[in-house]
Amino acid sequence: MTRDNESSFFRKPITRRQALKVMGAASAAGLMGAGMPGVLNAQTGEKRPNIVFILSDDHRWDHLGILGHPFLETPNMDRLAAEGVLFENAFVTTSLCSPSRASFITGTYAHTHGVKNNITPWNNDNVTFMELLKNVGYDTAFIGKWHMPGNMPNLRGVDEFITFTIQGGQGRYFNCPLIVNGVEEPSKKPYITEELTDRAIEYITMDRENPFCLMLSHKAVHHKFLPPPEYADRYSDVEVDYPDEMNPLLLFKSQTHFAGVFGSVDLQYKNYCETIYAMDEQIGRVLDTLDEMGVADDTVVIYAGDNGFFWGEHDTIGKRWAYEESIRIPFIVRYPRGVTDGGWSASGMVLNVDVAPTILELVGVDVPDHMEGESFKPSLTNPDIPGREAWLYEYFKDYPYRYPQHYAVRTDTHKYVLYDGRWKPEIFDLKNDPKEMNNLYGTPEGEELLPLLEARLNGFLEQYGLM
Amino acid sequence: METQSCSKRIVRPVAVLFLIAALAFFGFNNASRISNQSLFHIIAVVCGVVHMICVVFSAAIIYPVAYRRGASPRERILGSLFVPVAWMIKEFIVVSGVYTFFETLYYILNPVNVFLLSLALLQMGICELFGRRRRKRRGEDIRVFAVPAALAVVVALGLLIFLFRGLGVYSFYVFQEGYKAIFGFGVGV
Repeated sequence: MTRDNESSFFRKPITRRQALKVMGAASAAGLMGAGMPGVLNAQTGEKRPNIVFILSDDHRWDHLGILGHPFLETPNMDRLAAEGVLFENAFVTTSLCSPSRASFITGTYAHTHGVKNNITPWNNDNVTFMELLKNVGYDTAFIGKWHMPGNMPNLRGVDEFITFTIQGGQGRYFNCPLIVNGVEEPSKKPYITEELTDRAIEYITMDRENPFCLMLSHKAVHHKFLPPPEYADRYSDVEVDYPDEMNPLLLFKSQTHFAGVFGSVDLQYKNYCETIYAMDEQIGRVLDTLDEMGVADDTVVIYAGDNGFFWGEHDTIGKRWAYEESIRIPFIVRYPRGVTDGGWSASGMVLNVDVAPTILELVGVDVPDHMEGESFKPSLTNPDIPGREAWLYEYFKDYPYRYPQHYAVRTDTHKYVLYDGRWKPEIFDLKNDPKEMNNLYGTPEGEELLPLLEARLNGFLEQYGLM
Repeated sequence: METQSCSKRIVRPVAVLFLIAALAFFGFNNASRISNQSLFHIIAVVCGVVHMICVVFSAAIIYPVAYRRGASPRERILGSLFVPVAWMIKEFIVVSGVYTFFETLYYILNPVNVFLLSLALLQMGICELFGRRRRKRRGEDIRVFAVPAALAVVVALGLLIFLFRGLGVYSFYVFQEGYKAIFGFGVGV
């Protein structure tokens, strides 16, 4: 409002009827705040948004139709990006399921929340963003892959906890038994992605007075990359342009045999893409539900992958290493009420540890000091926000996989990776060598870059008490 | 059955197989250096398959040859296991670059190793029974059925069935649970 409007409003005489209307509305707002504490943002007085956070598994950042994938279709994720913000430089601080997932929900690094690999257990003293939202009156739900080592926790602040424990918490694509609030139930649908989506829609459409926060955590698209039967041959005939360095029998040397993944890379890769397609379809059902309920504008939808995945780059299959294919993730945020004219891309670097602080800031809850992420809320309204300059990547040994512990610092332009043991450090110029094929460590150019990169890395290690 | 020299009955067959396996391993892991993509792929696939055959079916190759050349049971068994065990030692060395000695020692029990040894045991048992049958048909006074051979087949099949449950995923989690029971959540993690 302009200054003139303000003075004319307050100077304008009102009738008794108008006064009663205003007083009634103010009382109702106050009652809403008192009787339904979750509804209004205490800081702004605005209605708190719903949160739908969809987290997938092993979904590579560049496997989106909107990013020009040669054949994979992701119309619903593309729609999210077209209506929201696509973060083109989003990363995970540890490229491994359990640590990354814990970082998403706690806003902290693996060395802080303690789930350092797929074996170290979840510490239920960890505070999740769901707990903090529950404290201000949200209805909360976690549906899907939990996959934190250790016993099933009694998650504080989560009203509905639907997950699975079979196969070490990885679940199964078909006929996966669920644990619904501590009780085992058979799945109602054969395919896990559809089953979890059904449960998510059931939760979203429940009668409620409070805003809701739903974390929908898919098993897809983790190995064994199994699509539903109707999509099993969707990309069978596609000619794929694999990385030059990829060995056709790569699966025999990549330890994927531990995961029961055999056969040709081509078969597995196409299954992977078909599984993404099937997951995208289910994401569309969630979006349609929000539309039908008329709450889409008031719902923050976040889509992210828990880590990336190699398909032959660096002659490997999987994740864990600090190379771009592994650490970059797809990351989209849609919030019509909170995003300035959706459909654009943000280039600043954001991390999985930033999601929790951002959600908290969006709903008007103070971000706890212990959270190590930074809210990217400003980036939702200003595409020119530069984002962070550098960040720490960490990977801890995960038995029996033969990846050494390593740390890396990633800036806008370079990456420096330091390994435990006999592996040579690596320095990459990401602008001129985006595929990271040319290790500059030990070269004249590398010698020039090393002091600054080393200082940055050591700075992070000191900051986090890792030295 | 004429007993040939130690070199002919066991050392040479094993050495030849080991050499083929080693060359195939080298070819498989270095084929990417060939600039011609088609040639790279052909060599990688051929070498990969040959290497796999040498490691996985070593017993089926060595055992009958050694048997026919008069090798003793101990020689036949050691010869059959040489190439797969060499592969396991190679893996042990790789893994020791990441994990402590005792964690690496435990790695010997991983499902892939158990699979290789089980398959070798199965092959040896079957080859033994076939060898006996061949000798009997030639007029030798020998029982075809031998308890150790039959037992080897039964034990090996049992292990393989366990390993293949869930296409190996189940046995992997058993292996991992064993690791956690001994080492907790990782040494130095």
